[in-house]
Amino acid sequence: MIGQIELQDVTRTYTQGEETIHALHHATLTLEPGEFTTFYGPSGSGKSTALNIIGGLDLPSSGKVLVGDASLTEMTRSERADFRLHHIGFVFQAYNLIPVLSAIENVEFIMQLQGITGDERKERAASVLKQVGLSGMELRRPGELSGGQQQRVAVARAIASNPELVLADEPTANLDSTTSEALIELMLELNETYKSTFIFSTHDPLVMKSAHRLIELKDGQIISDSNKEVA
Amino acid sequence: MGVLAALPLLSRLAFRNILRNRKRSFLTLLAVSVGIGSSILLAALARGMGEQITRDAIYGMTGHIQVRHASFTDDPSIEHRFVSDEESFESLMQHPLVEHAAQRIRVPAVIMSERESRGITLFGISPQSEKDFSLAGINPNRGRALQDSSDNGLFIGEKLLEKLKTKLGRRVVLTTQDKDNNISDRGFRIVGVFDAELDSTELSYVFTSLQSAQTLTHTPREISEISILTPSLDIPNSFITFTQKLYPNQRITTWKDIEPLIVTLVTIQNGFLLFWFLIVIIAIGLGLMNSLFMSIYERARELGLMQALGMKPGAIVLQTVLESFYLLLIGSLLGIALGVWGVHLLANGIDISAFAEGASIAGISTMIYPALFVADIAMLTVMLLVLGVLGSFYPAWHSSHEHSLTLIHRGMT
Amino acid sequence: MKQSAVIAWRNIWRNKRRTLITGAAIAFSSAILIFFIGLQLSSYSAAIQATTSIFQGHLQIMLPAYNEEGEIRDTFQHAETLREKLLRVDGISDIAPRAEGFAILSSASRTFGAKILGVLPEQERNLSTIPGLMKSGTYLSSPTAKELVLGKTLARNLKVEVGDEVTLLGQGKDGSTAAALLTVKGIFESGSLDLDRALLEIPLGTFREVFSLGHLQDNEAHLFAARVNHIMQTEKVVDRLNHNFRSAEAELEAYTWDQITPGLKQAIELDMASGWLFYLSLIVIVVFGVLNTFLMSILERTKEFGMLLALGMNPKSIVSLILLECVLLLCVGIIPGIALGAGILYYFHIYGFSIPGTEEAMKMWNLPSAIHPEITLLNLSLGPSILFLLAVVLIIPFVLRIFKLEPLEAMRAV
Repeated sequence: MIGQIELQDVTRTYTQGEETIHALHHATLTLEPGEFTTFYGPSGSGKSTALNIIGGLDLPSSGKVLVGDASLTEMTRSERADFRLHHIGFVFQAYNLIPVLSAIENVEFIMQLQGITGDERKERAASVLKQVGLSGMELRRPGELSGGQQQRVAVARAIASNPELVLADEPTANLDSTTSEALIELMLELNETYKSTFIFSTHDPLVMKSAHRLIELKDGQIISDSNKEVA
Repeated sequence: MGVLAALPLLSRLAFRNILRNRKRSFLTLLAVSVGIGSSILLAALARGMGEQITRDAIYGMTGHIQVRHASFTDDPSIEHRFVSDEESFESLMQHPLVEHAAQRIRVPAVIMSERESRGITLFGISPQSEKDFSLAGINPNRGRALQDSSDNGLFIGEKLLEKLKTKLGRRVVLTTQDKDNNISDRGFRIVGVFDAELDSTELSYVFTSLQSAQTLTHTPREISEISILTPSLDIPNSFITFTQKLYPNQRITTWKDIEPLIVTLVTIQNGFLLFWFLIVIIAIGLGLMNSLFMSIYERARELGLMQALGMKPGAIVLQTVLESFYLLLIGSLLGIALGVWGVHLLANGIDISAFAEGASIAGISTMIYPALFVADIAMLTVMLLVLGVLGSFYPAWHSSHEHSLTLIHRGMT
Repeated sequence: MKQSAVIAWRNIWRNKRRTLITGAAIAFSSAILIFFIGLQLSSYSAAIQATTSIFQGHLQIMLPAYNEEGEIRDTFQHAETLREKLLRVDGISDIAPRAEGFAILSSASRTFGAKILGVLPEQERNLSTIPGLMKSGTYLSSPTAKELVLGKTLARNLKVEVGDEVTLLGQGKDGSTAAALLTVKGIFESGSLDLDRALLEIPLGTFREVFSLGHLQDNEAHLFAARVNHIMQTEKVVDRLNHNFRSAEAELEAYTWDQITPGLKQAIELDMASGWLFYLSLIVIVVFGVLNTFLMSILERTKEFGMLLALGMNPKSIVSLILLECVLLLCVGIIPGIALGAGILYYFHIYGFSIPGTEEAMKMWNLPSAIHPEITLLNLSLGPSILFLLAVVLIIPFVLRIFKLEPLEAMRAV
């Protein structure tokens, strides 16, 4: 198990021209295993940065990131890549899938990288696709699926090998509201089933409603957390 | 008309499109310029080699035109000789196209030292008229050159001297056939030794004065050939007619009749170079076509928009064709610069002495000097521009015929 | 690996037209390279084959002094016994003694200097193709007949025909005058400009008598010309002869065909070198096109690579995927290119490749007027494999950019 996720006084700054932008500013946060958390805020609030840092895609300028026993800030680049591959499932806003592979091949592909072989891989891929409601569409390529269906494939891929943590960065940004809600419903359901920790970010007030724990960000700072009061 | 009026605007668009994806344009330009540059350089090397072989023959002992007995070219024997007519020779020398002219005896002979014998070609020459003209007039490497038309000395090549195992100043015997087909021989002293570009020349050409050769063959006042140098390789027919009138009983032969192998070589070379230019242009053209398709593909949305806004298909086609034209033009100019620069770098010649014995079979000397032919550059560039622009009509046509909405759609995915 | 191959294959067909055009360029240039290289290599082997089989042999054995100076006095004795022993040397298929001299030839109306070859007619038949190339008359009949055969150009220059008489005048080994009156037995046309112009053969016995080559029972000669079972073994056989045979017998040394006529080998090398200048320039142009295609394909997919890196895929796997795509794209062009090139070679193999008007120039290299190129593995693979290697080597710097990709930035790329 991955255990707790902790951000300890994390700051991430970017320089853009002569300006210094604080994408995250002294953020401290603990997430319990199995929690379904939503990062909410307008674009530029720091929610994507927070997600990227938790996922080991980005490193803080200062502060510490602990995911279970692992300190992401002390890992090398390739250790972090390996960590992502084996412990985290990702759903991105767009460009989630390999266009030349069918839905089931996309799911299998990541499992293959993880070292899962043979029939187990095939069965598992088929079963998660069924779980996300795509049975019958296994052989379609991404170009032959709707936006919502593509994101479902991405979700299926993210949970296929039952990772401890699933990160979804604005997964609904390109979807209409009905499809968005359905996708969130699906993720909630999977959170129940798999007991993985789920974190997703959104700027859509409609979507945020379904969150168990809601963390609101603005200008790189946590301004509210439904679990506790923020000073 | 509308399309033509839009030309400046379309040109500007075409240029911007080239600049838009610099990496791709750079690689395309690189392919065009390397193709043109290498072709120019290689053509210059081939031409240089061909020119050198031709020049070596003409400025060797052939000349541009020769007056010979009608049968001499086929059967170079003393039997086929003619009387030297001083009056005709004087008139010939007066002609503006005659830079040099020399009367000679040319016969097959055998040269014998105390230890070796070899078959050679013996020339009887007038040293004054060969000077600055032919191989017979070259400066001796050792010893002295022949002095006048009655010099009894022998002027031979270094390689022959070595083969004969004799020395400068020693006597050798020359044997040949006289006018009555009797064997005639005489002793000669080697007075000078020359160094020539080709070993084969050093081995086979032996010179003495005209009079001493005439004495050997018992043909006083008679000659085998008159060799004439004119300003150019192309000899006007009027000049041939003029010479024929002066020597009505002899045959006027050009260097092309005397050296058919060189003519063949140059003809093969011309054909090969043309064929090669075409190959290079096709290879460049396919790369360019690809680059244009990618450029169109990237701009699909924009092209769709332009059509949606009412730009005529002709203008869209022209825009792409212009893009191709400018790429080709810039690439050609860079390529010409590259090729000319390469020729300049190699102006001191390429040393192929490692292949000397092989090269000499084909009459190639040990140094190759590139010779830049403006006609080659012009032909190559014009062929590339014409074929390249024609080839670009395919992608260009494509850019205008795809339905604008599909283009917009494809641009998004 | 299988999965990567599937992905790579599908990736190269993502943009069908681009792959087809790039493939066409590769196929076109591969076919051109195969055609030219096939023609070149085939004419080289034809020239070597002709040179060694018309007259010269694969190797020659003689006194080192004779090889250097070529003087008539540098003979060796007991040619017959030596020949018997040499025939038993592994690899030698045929061998015959020869003597060489120089004489002034006089016919009824012409006088020329020429090299005279003394040969044993029966032994010469297996070694040289000249006995079979008689244009008129027949080949030499016996080792002591008072007759000669000569090349057609030499015959024309001497104005002689079969049955005419020719006077030989030269210098014998002992310095005495060598003179003989011989009848023209035959005139040959060898297809070699040089041999037709300069070669004259007389029976070896007659030669020995005319040029005073010692007592007849001494069996003197200047050299042995020999053929080996296969031309590729020439060097090995020469080494064997020089190591095992030389010490035991007379101070003879063996020389390979290219040591005897370095010109041919050098001419081949020169021709090959100049050919490659042209080929490389074509290869470079096509490889730039391939690089362009790949650069585009890499740039287009930056987002995708970013996503894969974000998921935790090892950059090495992406690099090997792209290299695999590169190899596949090259194969898409090279395989049809080889097929096309083989087709062209096959056509000319059957019908012959010739350029009208070049017959005489071809004879300069002992070549027939039409070349029938061989379809060999080397002819088919040499050009395309250089193209392949150059493309793969030059693609590497582009591919290495993948290692520098940061997943987040890559996903944001346009």
